[in-house]
Amino acid sequence: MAALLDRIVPEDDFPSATQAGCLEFILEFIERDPILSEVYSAGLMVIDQLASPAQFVELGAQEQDLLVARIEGTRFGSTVIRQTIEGYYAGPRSRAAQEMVGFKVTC
Amino acid sequence: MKEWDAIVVGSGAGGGGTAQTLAERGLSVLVLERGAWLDYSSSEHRDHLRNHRLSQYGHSTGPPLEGNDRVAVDLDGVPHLVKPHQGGYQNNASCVGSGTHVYGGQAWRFHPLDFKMASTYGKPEGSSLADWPISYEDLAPFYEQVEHLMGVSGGPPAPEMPTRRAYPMPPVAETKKGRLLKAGADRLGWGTQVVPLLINSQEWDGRPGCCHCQHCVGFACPVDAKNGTKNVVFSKWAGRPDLQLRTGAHATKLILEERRCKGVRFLERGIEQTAYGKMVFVAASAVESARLLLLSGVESWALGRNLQGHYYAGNSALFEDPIWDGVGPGASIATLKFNHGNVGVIGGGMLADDFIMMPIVMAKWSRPADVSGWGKAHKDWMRHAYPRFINVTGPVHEIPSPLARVELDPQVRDSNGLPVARLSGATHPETVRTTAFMQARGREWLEAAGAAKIWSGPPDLGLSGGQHQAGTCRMGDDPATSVVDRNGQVHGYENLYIADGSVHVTNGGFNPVLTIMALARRTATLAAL
Repeated sequence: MAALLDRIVPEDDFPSATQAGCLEFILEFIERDPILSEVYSAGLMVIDQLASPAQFVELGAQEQDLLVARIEGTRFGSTVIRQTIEGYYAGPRSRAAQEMVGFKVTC
Repeated sequence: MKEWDAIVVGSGAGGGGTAQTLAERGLSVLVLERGAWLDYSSSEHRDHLRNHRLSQYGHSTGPPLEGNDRVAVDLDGVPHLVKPHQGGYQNNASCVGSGTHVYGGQAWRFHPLDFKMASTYGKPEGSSLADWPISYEDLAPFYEQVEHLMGVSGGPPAPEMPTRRAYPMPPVAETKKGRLLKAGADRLGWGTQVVPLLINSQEWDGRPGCCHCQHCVGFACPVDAKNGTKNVVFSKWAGRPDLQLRTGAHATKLILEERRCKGVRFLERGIEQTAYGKMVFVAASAVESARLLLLSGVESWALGRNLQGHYYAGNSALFEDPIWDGVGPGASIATLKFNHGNVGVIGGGMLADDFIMMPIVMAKWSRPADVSGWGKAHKDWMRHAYPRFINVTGPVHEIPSPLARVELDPQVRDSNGLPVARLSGATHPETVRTTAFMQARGREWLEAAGAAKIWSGPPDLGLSGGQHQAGTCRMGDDPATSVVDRNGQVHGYENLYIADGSVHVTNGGFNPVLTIMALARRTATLAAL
């Protein structure tokens, strides 16, 4: 999951998604919502199946991006992209926004 | 049994203004507010995902997300259960001050022709377009009173508007994007004016000037420089026996007998109570005021019809060089050139630069179709575009439809066991046409200001309401087509008044809050004579 989030917001001279706290941001939602938890665990299995015989985390960045593009329109894909962007650019409940990464990155 | 001189339901722009006007005249007033007394720290601070601009996971005021459902019927006639933070709910803040606690505070007067839409343009078939029974001149003295009582900052009016007394405060800080747009308007020969704001540009009324933090619209003000009914009215009257504000007090029924309203039943922390008054003013916003009258058995064909808010004629634009200076409030310059006199469309609206945009809002609402929603390309775009971005937008004067309605849902009940509001219908298609016309004008403006890229989505037919909700208790001389008379008094009831945006015949091509305040002041002044 961390590898997936870091393809949605990769590192440049600013932090990646997980470096900015997006994993914790999403896990907080998953812990409170069994249906969302199911969407994430099923989706992560699918993306590893698509990556087989390797696992998603073992692939290079370009191959990973191709797989993200394949799941983009699915329920899981659209949810994980939306929540990663939300965690990165918004919300004082994420570490990213406590440090105002959203404004620092864009300004 | 205590009998108040007046009971007011709601403490927002309309209810707060009514209470202020009556209390100034020495009347005893009870205000029933279903929400809580909130301040900056109890309004979710600056949570960019839970506020009144982006309510992804909740919002920064009441009502609570559970127990306050509504039913929104889509254009195919399918009903959907919606919670307060979800699309289709048409939410307005539920707390002391209501929308004035979290608004951007644009303090526009309506244009004189906004009161005469039907006689100016004719009534399109299927619409309920009508003239107001009162004119701009009737309201002008009350506009002036609230501008000075509530505290407005700004400069002289645009050339399209009548002259008026200067505001009590000069304009807030100018922004870089404001200067660019001013230069663009000058090139086109369009008149402009500073956006008038219910925000202190300097110390006023014992509170500080704006701290330029950019978070006006959707949020409470961290330094209390925004002027609303909570700080200007209720803070000042706190502790005085002649104006009592009860929070957590949810009005459930008006006690109607013959031609009078004797009082209001309400639930306060689950306990049913009754208050009696010589006069009763309902200002619970267009959805809830209509619902309360329906729950109370008021019969009127027009009750709950003509629900309207505003369509927004928005364009996003990128400039070559960075133009972001981080200076709030951000809404700084407007043109009123297209509020009226447009060829081929009905009405029009004001155009202005928007309040400063949160990065997440740009990511969600303003990403052009040719930019990926994730990955390096998305991050590169966010970093490049944000400091070069301007959003020009403005409220379009809606052409109302009698089919845009608030009714009581036959099945769904709230946590008090009362039928919830059922919202259905859509604006008249002419609204969509005028919006497309206004979008084209916004585009022209941005081009003249030097934008390198401009994009927008086409407007669709739908129902609007939200924080600008209006129209459901329309004002008029004919009881067959209106709910209140020209003085805000409900037809058939000699001491019952509506004092919020519900009475607007049409909702102007402007943010409506100053009109709600001025009209409430007029209604209360006439009722207290």
